[in-house]
Amino acid sequence: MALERSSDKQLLDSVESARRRTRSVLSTNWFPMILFGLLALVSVAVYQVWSWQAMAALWVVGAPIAGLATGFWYRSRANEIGISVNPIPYTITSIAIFVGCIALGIAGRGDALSYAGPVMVIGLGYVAFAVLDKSPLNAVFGAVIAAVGVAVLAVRPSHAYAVTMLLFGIGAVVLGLWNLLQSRRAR
Amino acid sequence: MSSPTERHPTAGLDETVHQRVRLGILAILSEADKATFSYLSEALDVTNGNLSAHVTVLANAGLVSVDKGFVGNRPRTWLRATANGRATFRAEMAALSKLVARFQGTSQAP
Repeated sequence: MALERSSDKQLLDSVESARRRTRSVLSTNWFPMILFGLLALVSVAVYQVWSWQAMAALWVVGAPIAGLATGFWYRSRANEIGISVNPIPYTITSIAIFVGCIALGIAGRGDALSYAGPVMVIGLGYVAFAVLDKSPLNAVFGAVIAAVGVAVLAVRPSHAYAVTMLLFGIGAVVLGLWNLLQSRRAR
Repeated sequence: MSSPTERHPTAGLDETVHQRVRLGILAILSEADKATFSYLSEALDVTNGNLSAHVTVLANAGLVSVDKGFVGNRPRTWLRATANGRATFRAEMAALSKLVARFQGTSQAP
């Protein structure tokens, strides 16, 4: 009897271990993290050198292209390693972030809401991605970005766009590099 | 001390899935949308023949679905857990956890 129960414990442990390994493989997200982080950093440069309109155009054109590139990356990775997540919740979240950012960007009419609104939407979107990936680290990152958006709306500092996007861009690139390192170690 | 009318946790165990490889297949497929046959055989450290036998049992019970396709010119077999498979896996894990907790409680008692 004791032997049977001990093998039940081993069975439970081996299943939990298989689940953990699967989660770890599926939560590899360095490509979109680095790509969107770099896009945010480039947008700061475009805003500083050119104009608000040029920065907005960069996002309107660049975000869907980066989104498609991310989709292709996940698809080719799934074919390469042989496991994939359901893409529908990720696609819906991505579209919601894009539409939310555009809507608040336009509704703000160049005022604080134009900068803070999209930052809040991006932060909440990253929390949603983190829930899908079961990643507490990314959830904290998303929550911090959303909180920064709320703070910017309340305080309305000068250089709000540069500050928020530098924070988001650097954070996303660092987390992406960390995820890349972790996924290489796990191989 | 459990009451005599309380169901013993072993009553919740499912004969079909109460096995390391089959439970492992459902564990992986309940976290993912789908996985290939070769991924499962590598992750669970079993031969193709062994895995195939277990997949057949699960497919016949309606717990997994099997899709054969191609990636380029290479054949690829994808497996998915059905809704019934996910529910059965959750129920099995709950029963197993209860059983192990009960055993640990008993073995730690003075």
